[in-house]
Amino acid sequence: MNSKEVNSQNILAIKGLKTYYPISRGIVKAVDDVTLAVSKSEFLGLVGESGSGKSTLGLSILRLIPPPGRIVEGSILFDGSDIIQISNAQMRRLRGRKISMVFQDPMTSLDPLMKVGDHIVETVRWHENITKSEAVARAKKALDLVGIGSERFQDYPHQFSGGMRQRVMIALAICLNSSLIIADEPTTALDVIVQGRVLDLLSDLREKYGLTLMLITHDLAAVIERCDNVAVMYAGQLVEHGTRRQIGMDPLHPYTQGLLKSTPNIRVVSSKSSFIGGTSPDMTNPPRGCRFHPRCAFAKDTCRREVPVLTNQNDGRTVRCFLYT
Amino acid sequence: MRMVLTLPTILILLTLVFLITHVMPGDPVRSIAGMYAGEKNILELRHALGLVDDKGNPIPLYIQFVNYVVKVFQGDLGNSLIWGKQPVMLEVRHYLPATIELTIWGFLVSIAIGLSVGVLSAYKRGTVIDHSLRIYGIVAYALFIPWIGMLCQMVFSVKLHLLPVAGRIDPGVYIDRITGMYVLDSILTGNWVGFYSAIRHLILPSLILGIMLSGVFSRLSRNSMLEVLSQDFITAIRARGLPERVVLKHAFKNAFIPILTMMGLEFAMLLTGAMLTETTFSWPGMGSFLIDRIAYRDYNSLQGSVVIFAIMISVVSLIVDVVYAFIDPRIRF
Amino acid sequence: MTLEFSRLFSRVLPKGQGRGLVIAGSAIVGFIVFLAIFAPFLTAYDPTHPAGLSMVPPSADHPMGTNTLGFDLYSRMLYGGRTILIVVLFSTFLSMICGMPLGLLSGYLGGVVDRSLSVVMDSIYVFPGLILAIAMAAVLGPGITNAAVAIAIVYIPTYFRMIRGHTLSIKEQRYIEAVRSIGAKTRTILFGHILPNILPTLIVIFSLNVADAILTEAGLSFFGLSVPAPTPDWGYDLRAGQPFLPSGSWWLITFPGLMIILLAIGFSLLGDGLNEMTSP
Repeated sequence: MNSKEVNSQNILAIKGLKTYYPISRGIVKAVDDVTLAVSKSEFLGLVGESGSGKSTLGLSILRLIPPPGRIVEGSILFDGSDIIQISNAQMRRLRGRKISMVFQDPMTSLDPLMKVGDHIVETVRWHENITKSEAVARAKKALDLVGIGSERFQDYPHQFSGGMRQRVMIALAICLNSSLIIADEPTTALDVIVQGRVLDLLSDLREKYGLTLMLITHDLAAVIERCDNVAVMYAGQLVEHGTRRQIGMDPLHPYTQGLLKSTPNIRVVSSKSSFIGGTSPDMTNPPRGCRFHPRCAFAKDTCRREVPVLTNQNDGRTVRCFLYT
Repeated sequence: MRMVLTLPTILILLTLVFLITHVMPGDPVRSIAGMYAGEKNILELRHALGLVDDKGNPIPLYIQFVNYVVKVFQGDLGNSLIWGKQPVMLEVRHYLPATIELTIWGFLVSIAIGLSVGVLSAYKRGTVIDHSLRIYGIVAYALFIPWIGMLCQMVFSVKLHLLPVAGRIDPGVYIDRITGMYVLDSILTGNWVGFYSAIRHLILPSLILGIMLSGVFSRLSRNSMLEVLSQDFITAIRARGLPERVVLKHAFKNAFIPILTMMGLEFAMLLTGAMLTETTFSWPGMGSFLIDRIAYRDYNSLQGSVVIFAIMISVVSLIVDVVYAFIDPRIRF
Repeated sequence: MTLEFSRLFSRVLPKGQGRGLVIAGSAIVGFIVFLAIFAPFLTAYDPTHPAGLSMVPPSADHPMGTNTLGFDLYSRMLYGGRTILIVVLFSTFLSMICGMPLGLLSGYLGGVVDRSLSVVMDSIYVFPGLILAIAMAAVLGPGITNAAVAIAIVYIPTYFRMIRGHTLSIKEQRYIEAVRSIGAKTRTILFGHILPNILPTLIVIFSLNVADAILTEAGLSFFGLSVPAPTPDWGYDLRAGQPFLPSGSWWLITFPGLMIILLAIGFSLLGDGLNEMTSP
């Protein structure tokens, strides 16, 4: 386990989390034993491909797993208390207020029939007992903070571009001064240039207000560029977790190495990008032993038979791979 | 856009009606007049049907059609071929309000039941409640109105004497006519005896009509609601800590718009159901009128009624479009 | 043997949503079809001739009683199944052979042809089916063919729209462009590529459409505009029993109506179940 685990500065400590979805074919083990800690004001990047369980992890933290999926095992400590155990009413008080989420597709994440400003007013008034005019003032302030003029308070979502809609979502996330913001692929649906701006906004807000930010994405390059720490997920499990320098300069896990090699590097002119062979595993029946072994160039016999565990390395990071035990 | 289409739609339906009654095989005039009618009577009849002009010369088909269309737009639907040759329009004025009243009440019942069932069904998707409500939807629509109407008449009227068997009002009770709709008129004139009588007669017919239609509406609302509930913004609302009733409020508002559009299309079903209800309960509306006159081969009345139905449909489609444009901000701005 | 049968069963009807509905629906429809086909073996009476005293309530001799003319109702129910199934299936067949080619043409050609056909079809579609059928049947006169034609016209737009929509969406897909670019004739494209994909949707629409047509036909026969008496006809029998309601002759209307809704429910369940099964 990561030495950061014990740090009392941890705002979020996930331990042994398992979230499963039953489907007709079997059970999808979307998150299968993940242990992860995030400290206050940290900027964590959670990276993985589709089906790796990264989005499910984000939803699990907010306990928004749609039935019949459910959190089967584990604990999530937020600010000291295990939020898996608390009541629904208590969880609702946390959502939007202490922990907020920014969703992937800004086109469909806002109610098309409600004015943008009213989205914020509604949320604020639900959590805090303030008058309508106070709520409106707060909403306008939030809109200003994210770079949308408060004069657009009365506009409807369809009158905004994708990037601006995402800013509205961010305004919703910060309007109650949440301490933890989980951004689930916030830029995937946007143009490249707009992506940068949105990520810049998130970074700026974090610096300004000391927010803890968890960025869930498949874009390893973006994460290495901006985040403090990087956690890599594959097939429902955490496979590597370290600082951005460590991951960026010297990735240990073969999957991380593959990911890094396959991201086009704009600075190096003739870098060849490769891709990781094979296909994503079937999550109802993941490979025996190390889940990555079918696609791993270094796979040995042990990899096929036994499951590697997360082990601490000398430089403080953790890896799940038999190459390093 | 649909406003532009209303006119062609009416025209097409008028054409269809015209074709049906004028181009069909056999000589309708003979069958109306009977085998032994004299030449003079036949000629009179042909004239009444618009087939020949004043001098007795046959009018070509396309000119017949033009005359017909022009007359419709002038509000002249021709004269009935029986009983004193009343203008069809006059008779329509007599029977139409009854149909409108029944239709409105049936509609209200159907949306009350249909929306609740559909929304509940969608929210509790996959549960026993969902499955039973869906079966309700299927069965409700298949309940052939005359049959279920008659069964209710047997139970509630004949056996239990709770409700009247048929008709719109008790004999001897009279309501001043303002709109022709008894409930409304009786309220407007403070006629409480009439009001009570009218309501009692409305209960069974509008309930039967409403239940049948709620079968369709419940399926529509369920689908629309499911569609909305699977969207991201619903999860986003929950992610902000808002309670389920707020989630439902947002979901319903969004689901309602497609439901509204489809309600317009279902108006045709409403009319079909109304016609069957009218004949079952001897309700003196356009449906009863149509069936009645068919027995007498009164083709002018038949034609006129169909025209009225066509106009009703177009008007309702128009209203739905206007309301739709009004409540969806994506269209307004 | 049973193992193979259950394997085939699971292949054709995979477990999951809709299977129960399909089974229930097919059972009901199958049952009534069986009754209709084997009617002569299930009853000794001729449904078009008096079989005893009139207005007899259900008894051992006449399980469903007799009507005003002394016909045995049970046999009229059985043979009536033939009448309604023939009319409805015939009319649906007519609707399909008229509506589908037009829809294909309209979708594929586009332009003025498409627009004009669509406006006409939409106008018919939007009009109350029963009323249209009644107007036509009234003018055409009684008879199986006339009734079938009247009903068919009501449902032509249903098949037109379905095929047209399908054609439009397929038309845009890449593989059609690819096929066209290698010079395939229009006809090949139409029959070889566009049509085969439509089977699942077609079955669903067919089933639900038949359910609707049954109710329309029942409406027509209720008003005496379908087959002429004394051909056994459920809707007609229902209407015939109506005047006797106040006097308590319940069997005259209960059984005809029951048969109608049973058949309609059967096809509806089937259609709904198939819909669940074919759209995930």
